[in-house]
Amino acid sequence: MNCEQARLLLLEQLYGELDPRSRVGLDRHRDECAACRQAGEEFGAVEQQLSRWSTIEDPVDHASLRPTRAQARIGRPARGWRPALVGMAAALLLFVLLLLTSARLTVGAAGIQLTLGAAPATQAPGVGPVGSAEVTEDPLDAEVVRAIVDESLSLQLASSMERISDALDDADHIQRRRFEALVEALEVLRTQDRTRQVSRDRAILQGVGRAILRDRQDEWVP
Amino acid sequence: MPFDESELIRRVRNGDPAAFERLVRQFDARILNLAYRLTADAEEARDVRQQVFLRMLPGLERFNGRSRLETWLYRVAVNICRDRVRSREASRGREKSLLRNGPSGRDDDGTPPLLLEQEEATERVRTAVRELPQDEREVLVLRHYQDLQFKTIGELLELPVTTVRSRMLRALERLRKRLAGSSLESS
Repeated sequence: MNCEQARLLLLEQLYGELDPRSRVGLDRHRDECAACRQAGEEFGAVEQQLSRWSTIEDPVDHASLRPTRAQARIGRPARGWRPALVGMAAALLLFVLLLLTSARLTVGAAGIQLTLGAAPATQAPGVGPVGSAEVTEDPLDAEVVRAIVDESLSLQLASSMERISDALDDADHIQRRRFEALVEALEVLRTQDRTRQVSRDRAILQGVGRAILRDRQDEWVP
Repeated sequence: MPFDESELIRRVRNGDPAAFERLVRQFDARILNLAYRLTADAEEARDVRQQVFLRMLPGLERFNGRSRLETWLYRVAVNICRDRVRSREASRGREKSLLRNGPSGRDDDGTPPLLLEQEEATERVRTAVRELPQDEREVLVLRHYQDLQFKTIGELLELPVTTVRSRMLRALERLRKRLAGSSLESS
């Protein structure tokens, strides 16, 4: 082992990377070579000197490093998105409620029917009246209501998806991811609200249904 | 909560800002101090840190996981520091200004003699490291201050491990000559 090899091994020893087999050779060389013995001691002293230079403590302002909306691909909406999502969900709910409350319930021979849009032609009294037994029963079955609400929501969601899809055509990659994430988040929100929404909608529909039926009953009463 | 690097990377890729913040917290001090040792300038080190983390976000998209994230971040930091030191050294006026502003050049401000001695010793170390050739300084800082093994440094700098060891040896030999007097004094 020459001095250059020995110094490299001294270096490894200094930083705890020397394997035991090499150590034997190094010790033998060091015993014989005063220069390398001294170099080893001085390397140790330098190593101690280097440790004088302590670290700096300067915790980063993590908030300043948070990715901006432009940088982040939003999978889970950041706080800043939540108000917007809540607003969109509220708008969606309002739309559905308006849609549903503007609906008219008609009672015919085929049973209870929901008509969207324009009011149906006035039914002459006595034409195809529904028996009182039918009228006095709760006219709105929960499954029917749920189906109606689901269908309305699906229509609304499909319409939203279509608009978003159009917007996506013009968006770059990041924007695309954000839109997709937004739709996902909207879907999650919608699912979470579904139970409450259905019960609220059912109550409204029941109220509307009862009102219409009451009007009809009034008409039928001679 | 234990630090799960790959899970956090996955979450960042899915756009989770909290995961990004966790990664920043994990590596913050180490990146800052690596930059500090390589540039010998605290203010510059803060800038480097900022740049490293800003590069981390888009970089994670391409990060293949073959090396540890820490190693990858160190590589980014070393490259940024190289550019900065190079441009700093090209500007003589800036260099002079740095030396003028060093603690050893300050007027007597009433600091107790022992503290003054310690500060001066620290400054000698800082100056000695700063004056090492860039390639030797990088290896020294990564081995001594960042506590990376020679093999890891080789991967990080894309160098054979023998070259890494040789550079480290040259750096220690220089420092030995430079600091030998003060080392004997202090011991």
